[in-house]
Amino acid sequence: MLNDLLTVLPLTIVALLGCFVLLLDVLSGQTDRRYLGRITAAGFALALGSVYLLWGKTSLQLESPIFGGIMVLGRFELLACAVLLLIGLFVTLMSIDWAPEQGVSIGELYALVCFAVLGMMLLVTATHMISLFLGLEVMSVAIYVLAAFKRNSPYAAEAGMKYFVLGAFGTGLLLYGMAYAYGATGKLAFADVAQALAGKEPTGYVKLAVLMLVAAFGFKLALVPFHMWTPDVYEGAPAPVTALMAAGVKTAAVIAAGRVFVTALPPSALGSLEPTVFKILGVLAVITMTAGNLMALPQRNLKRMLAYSAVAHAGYLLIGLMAAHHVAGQPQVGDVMGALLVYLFVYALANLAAFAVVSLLGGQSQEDVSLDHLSGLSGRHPLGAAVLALAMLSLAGVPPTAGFFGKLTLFKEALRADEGKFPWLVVLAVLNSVVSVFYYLRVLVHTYFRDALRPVLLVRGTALTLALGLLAFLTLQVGLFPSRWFEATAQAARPATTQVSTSAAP
Amino acid sequence: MATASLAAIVFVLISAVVASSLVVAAKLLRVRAKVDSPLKRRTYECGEEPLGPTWIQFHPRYYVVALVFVIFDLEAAFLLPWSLIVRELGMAGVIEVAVFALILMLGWAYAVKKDALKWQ
Amino acid sequence: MTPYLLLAAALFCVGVYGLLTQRHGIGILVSIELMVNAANINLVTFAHFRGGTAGPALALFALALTVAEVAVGLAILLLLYRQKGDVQVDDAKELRQ
Repeated sequence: MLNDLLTVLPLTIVALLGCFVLLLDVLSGQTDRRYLGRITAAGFALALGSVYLLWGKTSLQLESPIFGGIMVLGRFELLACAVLLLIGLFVTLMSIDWAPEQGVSIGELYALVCFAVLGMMLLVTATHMISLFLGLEVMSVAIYVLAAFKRNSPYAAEAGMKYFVLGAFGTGLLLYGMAYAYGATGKLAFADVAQALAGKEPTGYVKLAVLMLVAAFGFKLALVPFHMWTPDVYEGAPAPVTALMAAGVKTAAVIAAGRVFVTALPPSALGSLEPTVFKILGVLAVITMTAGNLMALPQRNLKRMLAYSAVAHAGYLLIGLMAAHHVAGQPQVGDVMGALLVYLFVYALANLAAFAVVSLLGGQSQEDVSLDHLSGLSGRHPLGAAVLALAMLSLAGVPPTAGFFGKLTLFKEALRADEGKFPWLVVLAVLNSVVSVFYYLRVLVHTYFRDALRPVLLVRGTALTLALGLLAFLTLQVGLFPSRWFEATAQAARPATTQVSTSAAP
Repeated sequence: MATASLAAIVFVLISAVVASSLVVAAKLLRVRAKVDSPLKRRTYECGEEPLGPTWIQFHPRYYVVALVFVIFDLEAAFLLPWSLIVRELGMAGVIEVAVFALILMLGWAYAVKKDALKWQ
Repeated sequence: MTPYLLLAAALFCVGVYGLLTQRHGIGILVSIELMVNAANINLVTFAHFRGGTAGPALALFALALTVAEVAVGLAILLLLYRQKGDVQVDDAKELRQ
């Protein structure tokens, strides 16, 4: 019990931080809320420190299931939590100077960011349907509120409503799918579900459960038939919140989906259903990346463009998920999950950087950032322009940025998983990446080679500058010295994905 | 099985007899009004005059109170399964639920501080 | 067991249909509740006929969490209402399609 409580220290810190900030805001009654942001940022840094501490602790039984098998916090999960905490830290830093400029000086902003990150951390550590559902809801509810956070803006309310309706639809599907998985097996812990299904012919219940779970994760990951909410929500929601959605929600949802399809529904559990599932996922991946890239091409609004780019990246990530699913149960799955985590990390860095620049352009309640607004940015704010350039190159996957190595490893692992099935998917993904270079580079052209038409007001502040600088540093660091990061994640992922049998879970 | 259904039949019979005898007794014993006045057909023969239609909108403020109520109401549902096994869990269970209640109390304190429960 | 599962399936379909066709905000919230509670009926049914406590436990969590979700949805609807004076979600089309 004590071991369990110690192991979840990062989650506890974030939960307490959220409650503390929430109460501090109502009790102190100060109108300038910037200090709350600084406290939150310090709290996230503290939680990151606790992750570092746990990483080195060999006395704790890190890889074993905790709290009766509802969650596990091994090295892989610690790394994933570190990525999420870093996302929380950057979102907080972005908001500190941005919020007063936008007239939303509301203390709950920081508390909600904490709760959203807490939900994401629950999601990546979950090994049981109940903890998965709990994490998903904690994350989603906080982000519904955050999306509609800017109360004076009709866009924000609309974005919140759209995100809420489709998110709740996804939740309903997920729960219904879980109910049928429970009906088929009588179990809710992932490992037990896989064990109960192994070697049996899939019944109607299993088919229904798999279908519902794929659709539910489709909504959360913004795969193409389920992506309708993405552009509107990305455009309408405040920039730091969109950063949290693009970086955090995607990371948490991909890892949770990976866990479900690796430990609860591996190929051995699906039996004769496996080829159909593979076909469905493959078709989803192809239409997701193709449609995402094609729809991103004509966009002139930076946030909308990034939304479609998020859809396209969900397609690439789905290939990685399919590879992880395909090799489930073999030691190789650690490498694939590690590659996924690295990809998510570099993708999160690039998105955070891009949305930090969007926040930078959000002076005096400015919201809509079209490409024309970017013109002449290189002269007015060289650091912002450089960070945006790095982010775009990283998203496009141009060497030597981090994005290139993320894509390279992911596709390499996908090819290694099964040489017979994956080449055509990877070829399509690479072709798509080439198409995507066009719209990412257009942003660069506007930033560096066009004169300012309508200069927008910039948000000035030390926290935002700090965030921009750190993001630029990290993107370059991962891009120039990638091998250290990849080795660490692959090593961390190896033990996590070997099966742990859970027994005491309800 | 037989006694259970017998009990149910007897119960239904007794309630039917009691209910119908009350209605019949009211018919027999009531005091009839001499004249059939419009006043008699009003909803209330005495007290407040009815004001306006019954299809009114609830005040938006009611919504906040209702929201707080519904959330706390359902969070309390977690206490019900706990109460069934509280003896087996012992002290650890009590502490866990105390922490749970403490977090709920924090939420309540937040609502009070935000004046969510004041009707002004 | 089948009648209960059929009831749940019917409720779920009504919920999905409502969510896709309803234009009124409150109707959408009702549809969401229908979908979630259909899943809850399933969970409790399976637990009742096959034994085990995990299903009702998940159902309990689902109840509490979806109440929080719908409460937030209602708050967003109220915000939309204050801005537009109506809760027809069709009116929410400021953002380009």
